[in-house]
Amino acid sequence: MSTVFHICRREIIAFFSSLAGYVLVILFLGISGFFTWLYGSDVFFVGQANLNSFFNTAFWTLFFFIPAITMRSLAEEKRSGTLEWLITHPVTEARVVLGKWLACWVLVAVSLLLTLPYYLTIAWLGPVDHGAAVGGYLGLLMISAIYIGIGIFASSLTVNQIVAYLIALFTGFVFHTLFDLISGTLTGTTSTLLAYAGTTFHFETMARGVISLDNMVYGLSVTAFSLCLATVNLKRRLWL
Amino acid sequence: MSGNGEPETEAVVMKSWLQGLFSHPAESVLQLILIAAILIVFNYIAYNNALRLDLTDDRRYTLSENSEEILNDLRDPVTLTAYFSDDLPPDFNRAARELRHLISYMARSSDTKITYRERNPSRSEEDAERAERAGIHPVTLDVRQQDRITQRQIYMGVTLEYGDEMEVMPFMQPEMPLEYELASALSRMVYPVRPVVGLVQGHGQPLQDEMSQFLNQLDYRYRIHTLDNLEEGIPESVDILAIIAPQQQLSEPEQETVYQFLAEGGRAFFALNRFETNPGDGTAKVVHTGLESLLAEYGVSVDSTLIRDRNSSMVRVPGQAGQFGYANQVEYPLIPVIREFADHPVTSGISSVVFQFLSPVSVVHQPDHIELHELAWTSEQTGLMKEDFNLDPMQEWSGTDFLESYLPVGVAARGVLAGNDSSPESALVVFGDGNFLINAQGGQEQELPADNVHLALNAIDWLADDTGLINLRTRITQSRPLQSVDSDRQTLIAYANVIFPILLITLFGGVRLLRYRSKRAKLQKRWSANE
Repeated sequence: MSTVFHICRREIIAFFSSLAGYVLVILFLGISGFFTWLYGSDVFFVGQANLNSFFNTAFWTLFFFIPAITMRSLAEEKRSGTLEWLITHPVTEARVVLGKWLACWVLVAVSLLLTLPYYLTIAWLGPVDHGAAVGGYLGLLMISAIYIGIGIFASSLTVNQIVAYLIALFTGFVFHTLFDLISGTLTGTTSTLLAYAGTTFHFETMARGVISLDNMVYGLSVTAFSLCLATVNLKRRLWL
Repeated sequence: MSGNGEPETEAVVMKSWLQGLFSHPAESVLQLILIAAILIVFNYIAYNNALRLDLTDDRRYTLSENSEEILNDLRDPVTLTAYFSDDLPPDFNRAARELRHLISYMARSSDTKITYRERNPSRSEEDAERAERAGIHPVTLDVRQQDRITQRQIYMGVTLEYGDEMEVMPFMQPEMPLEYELASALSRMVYPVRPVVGLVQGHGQPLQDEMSQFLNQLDYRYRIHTLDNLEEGIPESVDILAIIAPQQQLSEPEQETVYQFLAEGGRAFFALNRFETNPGDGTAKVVHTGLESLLAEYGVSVDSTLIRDRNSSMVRVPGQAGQFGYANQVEYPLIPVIREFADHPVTSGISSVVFQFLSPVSVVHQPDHIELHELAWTSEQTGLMKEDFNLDPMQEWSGTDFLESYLPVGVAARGVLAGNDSSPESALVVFGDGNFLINAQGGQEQELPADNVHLALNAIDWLADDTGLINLRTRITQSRPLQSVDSDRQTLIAYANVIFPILLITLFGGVRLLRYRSKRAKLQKRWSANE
C-alpha cells in the first residue's frame, strides 16, 4: 500500500506545484460560489438554512472540474514516457492507477473542504440540518470518486490530454445525465434500472441526509470497474 | 505473524493472483465480465436491502418512537397489500420503493406481524377486481414516453387489513409523508375509538365544503359531529369543540353551553374573526361572537384591531390601461405570513402560516390555575389598524405603519376555570383569524399552504392529548428559514463567501511559491559557494 500512497503524494505535490492546478481549484470555487451565493436559486433567494444551492451547483461543477484534473494523470505519463520508467520500478499497474485515483480524490476533497465557510455561514444564519449537510458532502465525494475513476480510465486510453478530457466528459455525461434523462421517458423496470445506473438518483438520496447501502455499493462498483478498465488498458501494452 | 507463516503465504498467493489479473487478453475479457457480474449481483442485493443510515437531525427517514409504539400494540397480524402498476413514472417508482423500504422497517419492528404483498392490477384482471372492491381506482396521469406525452391509468393504492378492520389509501402521491399515512392508518385500526370533534355551525360560519382541505384531513383521525344548535347542549360523545369564524353572536344559552362544556373539563378550538371584512369596498365591521367574556375567564382576548405586517403575502389587483385589463401583484400587509412560533406541541414543525385579516390574541391577565402559552407572533415590523379601516391593497404603506413588533396571534390555555376546582382540566386554543382554514369561497377553490392545515390539526391533536403524531405529520415538510438579513449585509455575506475560499487557496499557493523561491535561492547560494 505504501507505493500507492507514495504515488498519491507525488501527484498531489505535482498538482500544487503547477499554476494550472490553482487555476482549476479557483475556477471550481468561483463558479460554485457564484451560483451558491450570487445568482439564480442562491442561498438568500431560497431563504432556507440548507446547502442545497451549493450541492446542486457542485453536482454540475464537479462534472466539468474532475475530467480536467484527471486528464493528465496517465495520458501525460504515457506521452512523456515516464509511465515506462514508473513501471520499471517494483510497482504494479493497478497500484499506479490506484495511487493516481487517490491523489485526484484527495484534491477534490481539499477543494470541497474549502467550501466549509458556506456551511459555517448558513449554520450561523439559520437552523441548518447538520446531518443532511454531511450527507450532501458525502454524496459529492461519492460522485467524485466515480467521475475520477472514469477520468483515469479515459486518461489511460490516449496520450492526448484534451481527448482524455472529452472522453471523460462524455462518459461522465452518460452517468450524470443520460441515464436519468432516458429513465424519465420510460416506465417500469427499465426506468428503475436506468435511474439506478445514473449518479443523480444516488446523489439526491445522499443530499437529503440518507446514506443507503445501495448508494455505497453503486459508488464503489462504478469506481472499481473504471479502475479495472484503466488497469487493463495499461497492461494491454504488455500483450503485444 | 504466526509461527507456521500461514498468513504470509496467503498474502503472497493473493499478491501473485492480483498481479496475474489482466495479464492475457482473453483471460482479461473473462475476468472483466466476471467482475462486472459480481458487481451487478452486489448492486441487486443492495438495491433490495433497506439498510441505511439516517444522518438528518430529526431522524426523519427513520421510524419514529410513535410508529414503534403503534407497532408494539399490534395484537394480530396486519396484511398490507400494495396495488401498484408495474409501469409507473419515475417519481411514483421512487415512492413505491420508499414504501417497500418503510414497510420492511415496520415489519422488523413489529416482530414480523406485518405481512406485505404486492399486486399488479394493470396486468391481472383478478387483481384489478380486488382493487376495485377495496376502493382503489386507477388514476389517469400524463406520462412522458420517449418523445410524446401519453395518458396512462395507474394504480398506486394500499390496503391494510387488521382482523376485521380494513383501511384503504386509494392513491399514494410521491410527496406524501408515507410514515405518517401508514402510522395513522394503523393507529385507527389498533385504537378504533376515534375522538369526536364537535363542529359548531349556524352563526355564519363557513360551510364544511369551504373548509374541505382541513376537514378532510381532520376526518382521517377524528369523527366530525356537526352541532347546529348549541342551545340543545353538547352531546357527551364530543371531546373537542371547534368554533371557526362565526360571523354572528352566539345566543346567551349557547354561550352558557360552551362555558359549561369547558367548566366540566372540555376542550375547545377557537379560530375567531374579530372583523367582517369586505375588501371590495374596503370596509371592516367588528364582530361580537359573545365568546369574549368566556375567553376573558381564561385571561385571553381577541383584540378589535387588525394586524398589518411587513411579512405578508402578495395579492393580485386588477387594473385597467385603456382598453386592456391587467393584474398588479402587490404585497398586502393585511394578509400576514406568520413565521415566529413558540416551542410548543401545537406549533411543532410549523414554519409559516398565512392568515387573513388577523387580530392579536392578547393575554390580558393571568388567572389562577390556568397555564397560558403564546403560540405565535407577528414579525419585528408590524402595526395595528385600530380605526378608519382602509383595506385598499393599492394604498401606500410607510415605515410608520409598522412600528410594533412581535404581537401574539395565538394562545393555548390549559387549567381549571375559577369556581370549578373539582372539575378536570379544560384546554383551549385561540387564534385571531378564522379565514386561515377556508380553502373555498364563492365557488372558487384554492389550495391552502400545508402549514395552515397542520397548525389547526396540531392544535386539535394537542387538545385531544394526542401529540404523538404531531411531529410525524410535519417532519417531511419542516422548513428551516434563514434569519432575516438586510440586503446590504446579504451582499457582504455573499461576496465574502465567494471570495474567502479563493483567497485561502491563493494564499496557500503564494506561501508555497515563496518557500520554493527561498529554497531555490539557498541552493543557488550553496552551489555558488561550492563553485
